[in-house]
Order: sequence, then structure tokens, then C-alpha cells
Amino acid sequence: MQIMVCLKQILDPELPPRDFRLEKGEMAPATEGIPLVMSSFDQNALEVGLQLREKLAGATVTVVTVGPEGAEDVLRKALAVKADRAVRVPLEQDCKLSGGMVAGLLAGVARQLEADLVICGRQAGDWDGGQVGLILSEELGWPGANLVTGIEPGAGGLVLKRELEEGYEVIEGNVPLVAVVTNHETNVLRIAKVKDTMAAMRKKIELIDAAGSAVEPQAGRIELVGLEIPVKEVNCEMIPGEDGSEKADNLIKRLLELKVL
Amino acid sequence: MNFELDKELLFLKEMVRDLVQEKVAPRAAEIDETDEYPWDIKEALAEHEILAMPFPEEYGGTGGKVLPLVIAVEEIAKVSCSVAMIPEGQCLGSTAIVIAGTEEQKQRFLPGLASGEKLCALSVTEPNAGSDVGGIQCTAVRDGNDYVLNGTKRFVSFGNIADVLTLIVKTVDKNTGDKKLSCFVVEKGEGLVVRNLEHKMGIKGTPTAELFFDNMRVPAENLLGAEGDGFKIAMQVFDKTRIGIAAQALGLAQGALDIAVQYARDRVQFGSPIGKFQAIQMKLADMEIKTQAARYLTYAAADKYDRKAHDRGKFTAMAKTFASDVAMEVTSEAIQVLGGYGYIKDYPVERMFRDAKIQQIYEGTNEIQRIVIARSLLGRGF
Repeated sequence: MQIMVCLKQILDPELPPRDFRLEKGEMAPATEGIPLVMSSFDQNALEVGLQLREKLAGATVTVVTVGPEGAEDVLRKALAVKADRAVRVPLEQDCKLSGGMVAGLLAGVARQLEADLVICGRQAGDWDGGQVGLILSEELGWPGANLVTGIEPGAGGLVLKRELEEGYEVIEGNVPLVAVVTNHETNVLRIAKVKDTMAAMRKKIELIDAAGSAVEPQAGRIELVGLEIPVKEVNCEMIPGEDGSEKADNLIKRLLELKVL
Repeated sequence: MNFELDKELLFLKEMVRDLVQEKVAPRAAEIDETDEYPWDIKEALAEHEILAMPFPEEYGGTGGKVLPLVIAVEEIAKVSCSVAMIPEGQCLGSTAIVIAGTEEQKQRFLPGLASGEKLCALSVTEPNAGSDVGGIQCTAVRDGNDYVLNGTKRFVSFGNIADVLTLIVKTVDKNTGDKKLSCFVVEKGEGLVVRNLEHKMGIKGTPTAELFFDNMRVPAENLLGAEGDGFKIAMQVFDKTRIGIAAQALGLAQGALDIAVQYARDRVQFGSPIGKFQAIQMKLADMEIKTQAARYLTYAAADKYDRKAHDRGKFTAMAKTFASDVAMEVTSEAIQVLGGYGYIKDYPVERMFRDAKIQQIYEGTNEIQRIVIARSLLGRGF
């Protein structure tokens, strides 16, 4: 089984808010001097792919990213945890694509790689669009399952565990399939070993030009008209009351007045 | 000339950082508090091949180069010097075998140490012989196919949990009475009593032991090199492993500096973050200057060792001395930046300060290092 896992390089979400800034006059965050990492849900997706490969003889994991040369770092991180193959769809440094366009490019790669199963993170940790996975399944014409936490081989195909608000749902599916993964304690990305980490730097990263696959009409469907960092205001207010019960009542009243509740 | 780490090493640094954040950071304060050796973390270091880093690939290691090991040790020591000592101890205990062992000795001992299945320790110091290695009184007397060991060794890091010991003792010629420093690799067994020496000021969780050899028989094939090679082997071992001490010191300095910077940004006094006050800015700037200088000297020493440069011994001594002095200064200043909070255990800088002190002492005091450096300038006879 050819498993394709989609990865995105994003600004480190652990960046302290005080260090987050926007490019002057740009509709994008400043990236200079800021660490770039693999999007966290994509890490979960990669772990799900690796765990499935371990249970399926002959299966391979190919990791794919759409981005400039610097984005190869996330592919190398995946190679360090023993992904079999890495592919980058080259993109100019400043090129910005909508989720739909990225899905179109990834669909093109999935076809070229003859992937059976495509696994994505549920949303990128930068824009939180959450669109690529399911648009990708639409582009490919394959069934898609979202909020997946793990995939196991089953008697009739694959068994996918989905996380719901009230519990879990277990579904069966056959390839070709797109699985959109959410985080769970069972799919935290493993940490690499020293030799694999060093070897990952020497492994080949293939370039696939999937430009023909980009769905042109997607461009322009979403227009970014403004981007700003919210100003946080902290005020302290003492809630009056004779005892705990009265203070709690007054607190609730005040929160209702402020429309917090 | 390029002063940047190459991509491979940067990538390794990131990998070690991930491991440290997941496994070490949550346990660092607890290890210091309980003073217990963290077996769980030792297992994680073995699983992720950090313990394999001091060893050549043919014996199950990752290559044995010093610079990658320095990068890893620095990264661990930013969070816990006690944990950073685990790979360092494995390097220290095994280097005599790597340097002076026969092929048979290497095949016999190194794979088990590289996998982390077995632990090792180096034992040189005695109650009356520290900096003065020539004053060693432990003896090994040839008796048939064995040597018989007698004497006491002190301050042996990991001595109580090590399966394999490398030690410097005096071999005694029964006929002439001549004594020569020699090096042995010893597996624990009959004739060896181990006593824990605890209550150290810092590096808690790294056990220190005293070893008593009482007519312990060691097979003659456990002699490393020839009789009389002991001093040379010990010096060659330290030329390598003292760079690891520099790396620990560097990690301590960087870890304390990071906390001080964070605190200076957050702590508000007189209506401003204290980082806006020049008194604090001067301190942080000096800490950064010293830490960066220590980093480049440490990396240079590691690079010279890996390239077998002729002046590698001097650079090792300079890196160990400078980085450990810097660690002492920077951790002390970090406490000053944090004020009262720096003096209590809620923040790790007081632990880092206690851990920094030993860096100036073990594996050759900084005073001995300065003599080594001065003699490299003045030549023989000084």
C-alpha cells in the first residue's frame, strides 16, 4: 500500500506572542528569525501513517509538502523517523496559495505517486483553515474521513477510529481513501534516533512539479482583506459580596453584563 | 572558514531538544530533589542512540565523533546537567578501550556499552591522588595469567552502577619492585567492594562511589595497552572527554541565560519589565558574550579533536577551563537577575549554579588545565 502523508511547514506555534509580528504592509506574519516547524496535526498524521505501515507488510510512507526549498526541513524530519520517500512540490518563497489550490496540487501528486491512502492533518497550525484534507478527497473523487485518530488494517480493508465529542466512532473503509487526522495520545509523533537523524540529511528529496494540477478557479475564491494582531486588554475588577455565595452571584451577573456568559 | 554548524548537526540538535523536552524537562527538578539515578531516562537515551554516540559504528555506535556528542550534551545540559552526565560518563568510561583496546577487547566490551545495555566508569582518583596522577597507590601485581588488584579509588562517577570499569593503577614488577602506571578494563566481581559517596552539592542523581580492591583477580588480557601506558592513556582519554565537560558547562550557561532573559522580559518592577533597565541589560549582554565565546571555543576544541589537529590537547584544556568558568559566572548572574526567585528552588537557576561548580573541578581542575595551557606556550622544562 502506498501511503502518502501531507506535511506543511509553519511558524512555530510555541512562539511567545510578543515575538509574533506582521510584515509591514503585508498580509502575512513576519518569518525572519522565527523558527519554522512541522504543523502539529501533520505530525499526528505522519505518526498514523508510520503506525499503519508497521502493520502492513510492503507498505511505504511517502511524505509530501508544497513549499519553497526551506520547507524540505519538515520532509527531512519525516525521513528521520523513517518515512520511505520524500517529495516537494516547489513553490516560490512568497507564493501564497489558498487551501483549495494546495489540495489541487496534492491531488496531482497523489495521482503521480499512485497513492492508495492519503493522510492529512486536520488543519495547519498557522491559518487553521482546515480545508485541504476534505477538498483533496473531493478533487481525487475518493471517500474522505475526518477527525481520524488511528488507522488499523482490517479484514475487509482499513479500520479508522474517529474522535467525536461524545466518544469514538469506528468505521471501515477501502482504499483509495483520504484520512484527515486529529491529535490523540496514541498518535504523538515519535522522536528520531541519532543515526536516522544524521542519515536523513543525506537522503534524496524528489521534486514533483504538479503545477498542472492546481485548480485555477480556486484562486480568488477567498480574498484576504485584513490581518491584525488582536490587542489584549487586561482589567482587574473586584467583585463585591459578603460571602462566597453572594460573590459568586455577583460574578455571574457581571459576566452576563459583559456578555462573557 | 565557516563558524556555523552544518545542517546535519543543527538537525541533530533539534532532535535532541525534542527528546529533552519530552523526557528530561519534566523530571529535571525531581532528579535533583531525590538524588536518584534516572533509569527511565537512561533507557530513553539508549533507545534514541545518545549513549551510542561516543562509539565507532563498527562497534554499534553512531560514529564516535566528538562534535556531535558535544552538541547533544550541550542540549541536554541546558535542562539537566545530571542527565547530560549519563552519555558523558559512558564516553569517559569507555574511551580508554576505544583508544588503547585490542580488536578482541573492543569486540568484547564496546557493543554492550554502545547499546546502553551495560554502563561503564573511569576510575583514576584516589584518597591521596587527584590532580597528581603519579601519586596513585592502587597496585596490580602479575600472578600467573592474572593481575591481583589492591587499593582504594575515590570519586568514581557512576562507579556503583557501572558494569565495566576502566582504571589506572600501578603495576608492580615482583622482581625489581618497579612501578608503572597501567590501565585495565575490569568487570565487577569478587574482590571489589563498592561504597556510595553521596551528599554532593550538585549533579544530584549522578551517583559517586568509592571502590575497594581487595586481592581482586583480573585476567591479564584485560590490560589496555602495555604496562606503563597508563599515564599516556589517561591523558589521551581526558583530551577527548574534557570537551564533554566544556559542553556540559556550556549547556548550563545557556540554560541559565535563557531563563534570565525570559525573566527579565516578564518581571515588572517600577512599572517596567526589568529587562528595560540598563543594569539588567549589561548583565545579560555580558552573559551572552561569555556564553557565545565558550560555545565557539568548545566547538573548536571538538572539531580539532575530530580532525586530530596537533594542538587539540591545548584546545581541550582551554575549552574546559573557559566554559566551566563561564558557567559559574553566568549561573551566578542568572540568580542575581532573578533576585529572590533565583535563590529558591521554584526556578532551576540555583540548581544550575550548584551543578556549575563541579565543572571547574572534575576531570582535571582548572588550575591543572592552566598549567597544561601554559606549558604548551612555554615548552618543556616549565
